[in-house]
Amino acid sequence: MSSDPLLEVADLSVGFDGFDGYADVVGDVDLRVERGEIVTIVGETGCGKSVTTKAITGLLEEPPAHVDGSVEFDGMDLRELSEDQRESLNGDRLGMIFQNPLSGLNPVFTIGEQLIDTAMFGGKNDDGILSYFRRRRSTADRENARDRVVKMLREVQMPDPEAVLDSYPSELSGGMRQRALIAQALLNEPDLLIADEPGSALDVTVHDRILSLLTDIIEDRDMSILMITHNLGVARQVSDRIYIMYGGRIVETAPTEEIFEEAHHPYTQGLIASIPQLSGEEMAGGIDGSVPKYTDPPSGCRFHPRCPYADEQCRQSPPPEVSFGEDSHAVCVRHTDDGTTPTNEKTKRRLMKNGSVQTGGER
Amino acid sequence: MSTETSRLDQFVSPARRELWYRSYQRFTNQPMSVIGLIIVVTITIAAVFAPYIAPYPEHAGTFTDFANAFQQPSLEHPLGTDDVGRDILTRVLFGYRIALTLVAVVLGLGVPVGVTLGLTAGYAGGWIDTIIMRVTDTFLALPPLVLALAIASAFEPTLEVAMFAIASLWWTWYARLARGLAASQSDEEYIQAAKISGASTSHILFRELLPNCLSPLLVKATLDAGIVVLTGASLSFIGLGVQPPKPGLGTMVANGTNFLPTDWWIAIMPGIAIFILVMGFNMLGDGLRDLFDVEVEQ
Amino acid sequence: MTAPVLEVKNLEKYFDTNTGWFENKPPVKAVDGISLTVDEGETLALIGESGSGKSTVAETIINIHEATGGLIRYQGEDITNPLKEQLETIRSDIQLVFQDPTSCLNPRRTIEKSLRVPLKATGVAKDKRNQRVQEMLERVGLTDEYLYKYPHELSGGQKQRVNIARALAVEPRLLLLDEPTSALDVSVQAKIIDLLRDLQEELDLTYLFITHDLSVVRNFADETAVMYLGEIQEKGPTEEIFQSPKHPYTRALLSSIPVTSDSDEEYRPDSEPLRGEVPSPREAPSGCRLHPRCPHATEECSMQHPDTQQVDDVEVQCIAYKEESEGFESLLTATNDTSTESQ
Repeated sequence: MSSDPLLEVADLSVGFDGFDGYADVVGDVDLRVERGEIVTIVGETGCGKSVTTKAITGLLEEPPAHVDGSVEFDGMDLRELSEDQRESLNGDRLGMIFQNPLSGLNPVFTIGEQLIDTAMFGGKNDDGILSYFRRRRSTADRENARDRVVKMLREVQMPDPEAVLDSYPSELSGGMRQRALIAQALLNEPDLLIADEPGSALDVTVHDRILSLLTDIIEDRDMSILMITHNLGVARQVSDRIYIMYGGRIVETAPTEEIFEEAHHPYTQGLIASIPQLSGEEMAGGIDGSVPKYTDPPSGCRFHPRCPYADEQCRQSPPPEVSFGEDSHAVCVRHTDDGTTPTNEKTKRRLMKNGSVQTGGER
Repeated sequence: MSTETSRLDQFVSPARRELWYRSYQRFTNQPMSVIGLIIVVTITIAAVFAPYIAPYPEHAGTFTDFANAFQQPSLEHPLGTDDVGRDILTRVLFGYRIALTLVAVVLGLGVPVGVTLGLTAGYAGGWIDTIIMRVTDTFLALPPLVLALAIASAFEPTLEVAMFAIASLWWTWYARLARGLAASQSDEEYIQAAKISGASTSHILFRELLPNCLSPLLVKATLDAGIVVLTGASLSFIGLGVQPPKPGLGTMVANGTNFLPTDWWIAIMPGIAIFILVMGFNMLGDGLRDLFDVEVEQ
Repeated sequence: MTAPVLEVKNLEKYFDTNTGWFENKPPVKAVDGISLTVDEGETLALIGESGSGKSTVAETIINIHEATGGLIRYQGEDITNPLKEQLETIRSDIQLVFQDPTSCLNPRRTIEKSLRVPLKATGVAKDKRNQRVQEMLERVGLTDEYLYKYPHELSGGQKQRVNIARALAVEPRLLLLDEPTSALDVSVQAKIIDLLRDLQEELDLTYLFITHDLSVVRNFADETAVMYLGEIQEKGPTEEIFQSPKHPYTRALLSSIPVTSDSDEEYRPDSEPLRGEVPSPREAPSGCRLHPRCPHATEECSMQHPDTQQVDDVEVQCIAYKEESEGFESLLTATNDTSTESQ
């Protein structure tokens, strides 16, 4: 096993041309996923987390999107690959799961047809048309693929896999569809699974079980996951390391425990303080304002209009990256000068109703 | 990418102006629809001011000048003259007047009636919906041209009768369209919210529902305008619409066919005139549809 | 003692799904005999997953649907299937805030126009409406610069504020909140919860708060009722529901919340996952409605509809729960055969 990370993204930036002019959505994104690691990107609506993964997986149409930076997967630069190479990589070594379990499946084919095709042809589209038809007609191959699919469906705890093979997506419940999609993504044993809010469209009890299923399977197979979520609790439950995104920038990264013990960025702290606690501990009153407009982002630190610590310096210059350990960084100027270093407690107090600072945006 | 965030510095008028500006930009990005708009506007202006801009206004009616009959298109008579020596350009301009009046009357009667019935049916549902829609379906079963033929031959074949005949059937399509739109919208939460706020039914129909159904209706009306022109011309062509010596476009084509192929311009020129107007409406309608489709996507 | 603001007794709402004349399908029992009371100035949280019928309860109370059976009383007055003049009372005293802040604002009307609707309906004089609209906006923490904006120009949180303002326009006493925060991000959710709390204090409002997210109600609701497939499974003071959840469904809901601190982790009951998924209300199981999914189900559960037991202040509708053993027989004997999954 080499020491290189499985996925390494450096200096990724994404922008879009639109009617409002150029939208500078994602910028300065560096992230990596080691082998066997589960990494989550956490951020709220409109923080650019989905755009980031779409840029990584090459799903953005260019133009109108403008993507820059490097995305290295196991030593290959994904951005340099031809479309064919990419496609065969996508089915084979890179698996993907999307948020909506209905849109990921074709409604006019049975689950069996779709999954068996994936098992037979995933990552093999560079074989040429002749071998495609040869394989298509080979019953041995088909039987083989079918066995693999059934085995995989068992593994994702699909009830009655044989019957599911002959069902259409509309005949399955949301949770079963999500399981089918996970099975499909895992069929060709990818090295890296990219999951965009898996199961979050489902009921809490089902969502919870989808997540634990996913992490169990990943651990058994020594695969890696890059997961996107808006829910810090989900991130805490599944991941080894967390990236926090705000306004298209990664504002903080740290191992999971560290984030919840002592986050360094005021945004992370504010998020944690806004989550309702089962123990009934009083929570902060949320973060004022709303996500920035990407066509006209705030100067300096993009979080400054909502930050309880912001001052002139934050408004004027982009914040520096401050390191707190090998895997722990925050992009905030408050940690370089002394005195006002934000902590979880302090931020929470400042965001509580009484100490609430009046900032722009939502009032 | 959602950019629904609002800016503090964005006050009322700039925001609205921006909206208009964006629609304007999207519209002008499509050359076809701009051409369509130019055609429709130009023809409308020309028709309204026909008495002032037509080269020989007196030729619109019963005028004869046999000395100048069957003149080829020339500088003096850009579209030539007809069998009794009337300037065809003049008559085309007056013909447009009649055609556009027909459009205004048919759509002006048909659209409000159809939309009101459709919105009511779609919003109320149940037996009200059933009754309105079955009646609509009955009317739909009659082809407008055939009913117009029947009415026109039963009464006096005049323009007014033709207008009434066409209008009496035209509302059906709007009723169906509006009903579909209203039915899909009336489950929306904003309608529920208005209901709970205590809004009256007419408020919900015309203030809440109608603005959200307007785009497809407008597109349909624009595309329909062309069809109304064609229907009117067809009736006139078979002698049941505009009666000579009034300059109906269809009447002129019908008259011109007697002199084909030698004196081709008498029939062809009014034909081209119909073609241009109908095409203008169609291009404009297609453009509007694309415009609103983008809006829906966003 | 004065009558509670809202009292619901054995409320039933069945939906007829037959479309043709000759069909004879049984009706869908969206709400099947629920009872609850909300006292003046209190908040009752109604918890449930999709298909539990929780929204139908609110929609029936406010007369969007007609009740199939049971009784709804508002301040002692029977408002089940109300008369015309009663409907006016309902519309001015009870208001509903919807879940999706976007879809309940007309996209083609400005905020100001949307806010004027309830004023006009309740007969506020024309010249006073402008001022009232501004007051309403101010009350929910928005400035009058939002008056002439369209919904798409506002963020989710701002739109929800507008919706709350609209509901408050008629000066209601009882507010039905149907998942008012679940479409919002946490940082905004906290702000809206805060606002609702302030408003309750200021205007002495009574809330029926409907949500699928148990964690939100912890600090917000005085009482909590947990619904599953049209029935209330457990009901009691919020504090007690969280500290010692009794019904297997409540326990499963609590244990599946992804928590964010170690203290919460301890607070959460041990994982007792439910099998499968919520069945369609069309095919509600016999006996206890949870039994096909319940880890503690016995044969009795599938045969017999459970009665409500009173344990301290909490009402639990469960056969397997035994008060004397403070839990479930199955928990004491075999703890770990619950993780296997079947249909």
